[in-house]
Amino acid sequence: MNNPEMNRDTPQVPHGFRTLVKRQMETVNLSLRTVASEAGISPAYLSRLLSGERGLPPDDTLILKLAEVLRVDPPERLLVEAKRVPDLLLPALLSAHEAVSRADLKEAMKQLQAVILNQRKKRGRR
Amino acid sequence: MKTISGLLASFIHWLRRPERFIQKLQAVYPHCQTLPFHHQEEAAANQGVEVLETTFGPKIEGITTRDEGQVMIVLRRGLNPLNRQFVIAHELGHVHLHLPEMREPDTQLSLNRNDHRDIEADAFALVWLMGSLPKERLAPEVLLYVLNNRGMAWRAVRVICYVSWYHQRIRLANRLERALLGLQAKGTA
Repeated sequence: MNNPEMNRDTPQVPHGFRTLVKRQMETVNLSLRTVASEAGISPAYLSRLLSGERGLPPDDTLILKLAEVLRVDPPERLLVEAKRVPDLLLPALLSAHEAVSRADLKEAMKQLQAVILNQRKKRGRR
Repeated sequence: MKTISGLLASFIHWLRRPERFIQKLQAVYPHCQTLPFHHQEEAAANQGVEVLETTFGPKIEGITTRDEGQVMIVLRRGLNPLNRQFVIAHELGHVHLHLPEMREPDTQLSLNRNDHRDIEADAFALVWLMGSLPKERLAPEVLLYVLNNRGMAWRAVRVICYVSWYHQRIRLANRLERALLGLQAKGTA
């Protein structure tokens, strides 16, 4: 939890988090007002969050609630974007048969990390 | 002198890679349960491998990983059914041939891509899938697969090249090994 990359105490909301929330709002076709209402926050706070004027609360409840409202799959992806989880220690082999850009690779790593966190949670529940 | 010997030894090790691959394939294959072509997910489950799906970019078909002792194949959501079978078989190749030798990386999740391991996993998938098809369906299924998948012909060529130079590589490795032994004997004399 002492990872300097993690955004638990710093007020600045990471760019990736804001981008994913905005992209999902478009994908699931929900207005800022609806998202805020379903997540139990004010539209003004959500708007400031997305513009980077306000920070996220220290616990993960709001992030996971937003992930649920925005149907982020898996929901842990929003935690990864908010830099709330440390990098995992895993060996992984990627199968791609066309040239993959650095950005594609970074995106795949984040998604894989979210999938693994989700699986860990499921295994914990069993 | 030491440097030349070291380089030569590394080169011999590289030349012998297909030999090690074929030995591994021979060791693994009899233990793999042969299931019908369209039951690759079941084959994975029988081996204790979880098959999951997620949203990856269009160029990424799958990733094989290991976490807390559990081996997972994560596929791109929306692969066509035929391609899905091939990708699972390819990833099973990575599970059997490459994952055991991969240690946990030191710093973070690291992805390895586009190397000889991919060719070996393709070869594994071809052997594995062909073994699961009845003869009368083999040609149409394989033709359909190749027609459905851009780049598959190139992948097949890579597999053929990898295996077709096998004897030449081993012969060269044997000769170089003799030369290396000679060099080392001279060094100690």
